Amino acid sequence: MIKQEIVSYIRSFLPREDATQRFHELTLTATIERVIIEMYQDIYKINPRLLSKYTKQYGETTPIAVKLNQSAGIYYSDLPSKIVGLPCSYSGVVHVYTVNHAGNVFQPMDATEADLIFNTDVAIVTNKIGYRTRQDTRIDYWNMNTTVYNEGVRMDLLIPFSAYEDNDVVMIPELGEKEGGAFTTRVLSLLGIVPPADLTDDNGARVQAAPTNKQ
Amino acid sequence: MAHTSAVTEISKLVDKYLFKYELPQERYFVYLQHACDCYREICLRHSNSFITTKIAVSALGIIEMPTDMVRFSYLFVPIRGEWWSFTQKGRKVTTTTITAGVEGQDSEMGEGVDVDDDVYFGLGGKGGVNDYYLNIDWTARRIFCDGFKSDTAVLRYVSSGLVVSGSTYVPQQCEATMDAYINWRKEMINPRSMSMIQYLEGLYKEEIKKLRILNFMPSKDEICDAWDSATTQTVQR
Repeated sequence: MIKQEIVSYIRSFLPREDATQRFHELTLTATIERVIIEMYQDIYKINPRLLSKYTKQYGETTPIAVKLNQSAGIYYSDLPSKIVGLPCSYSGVVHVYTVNHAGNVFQPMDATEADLIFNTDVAIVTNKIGYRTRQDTRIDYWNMNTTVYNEGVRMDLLIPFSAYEDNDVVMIPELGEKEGGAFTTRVLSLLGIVPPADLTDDNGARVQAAPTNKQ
Repeated sequence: MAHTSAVTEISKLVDKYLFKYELPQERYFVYLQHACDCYREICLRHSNSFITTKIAVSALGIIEMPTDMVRFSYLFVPIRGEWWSFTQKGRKVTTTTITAGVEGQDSEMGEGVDVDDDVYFGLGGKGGVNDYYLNIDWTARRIFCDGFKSDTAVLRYVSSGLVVSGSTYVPQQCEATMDAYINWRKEMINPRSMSMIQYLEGLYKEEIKKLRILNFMPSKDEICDAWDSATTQTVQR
């Protein structure tokens, strides 16, 4: 579904009368965004490799420029969009590619790795390029080479729902009740239309309090 | 018929590892470092691959070790189409004397003095003797030669295996061993249980054993040659 259709679909479950503007367009978008981010994180816990299916591609028509901070000697790129934060080194920058696909050139790394790597054998034996995702919608590169610097890069980014264009196709993670609830249930639950699922396992035999002999 | 290459670049070996075990790329560089450690270990202890290079012997009879040399194998001089090897003599003097900032040798301290092999009997008897001796100073990373100065010898040594300028290639037969090593080390980073660590260590040792059999066991031809060279085809008297 495209972004607009998803919002309309959710709206179809809501009461027609909304005098207090409780279900404003922005509220709906924000709720959907929150639910989708939660689902991305659930998928990350199941298998991080599955996330690439939900990314948006950038730099295919016009490559994303690689820039150089001369004073610090750091190569970097500005991200073309906001990203979803994930508890891993690459965060929402799921893949970075060369313009002409060369296969597994870029590898994610965290700040500690980026700092320590200079004194390791890795710095000697590899020609792979490391990238570190930063908070300020930017990635820093390690071991950048002239060809990639001149040509630019492509990226697969995991972006929040609000960052999609109205006509962009948005893949909704296919999670069910066992994985914490389906998309519609989660959104409507958050909006207060459907009460949250009762997950308490209280079907077991209850233990009765023993009678007391107090007088 | 074309076949795949017998060597793989070490980075590609880690690519293949991630591919085979369906792992995310997040820890690529960490796994690559473990792959380097494993390959260095293989080169040092479980491999029969050596580097053979011509090397200069200075006027003082000293060889400066190559920076990648981790183990000494042989020092040769060519004689009639064969390499004649130096004999290691641990008591060969390895000190030098600095005079006015210039390195030299003090013969009174035995520096640069050739070993005397002319005593053949009595307490000073040497048994088998060689024209060429050597002594290694690992701390100074120098080899002191005896009976051979201002010339070129042939050094055979075990290298760290990691190439500084250019790609580092790993023989295909090491791939399973290196996979097993990375699996074991990966488990030590995020251990599930002690028994799992021990299990993976066991698998690694099993792979090492296979590699050693491949590298060090003689082939049928080599065994036959050894047998034939120790027997005669004429009548034994």
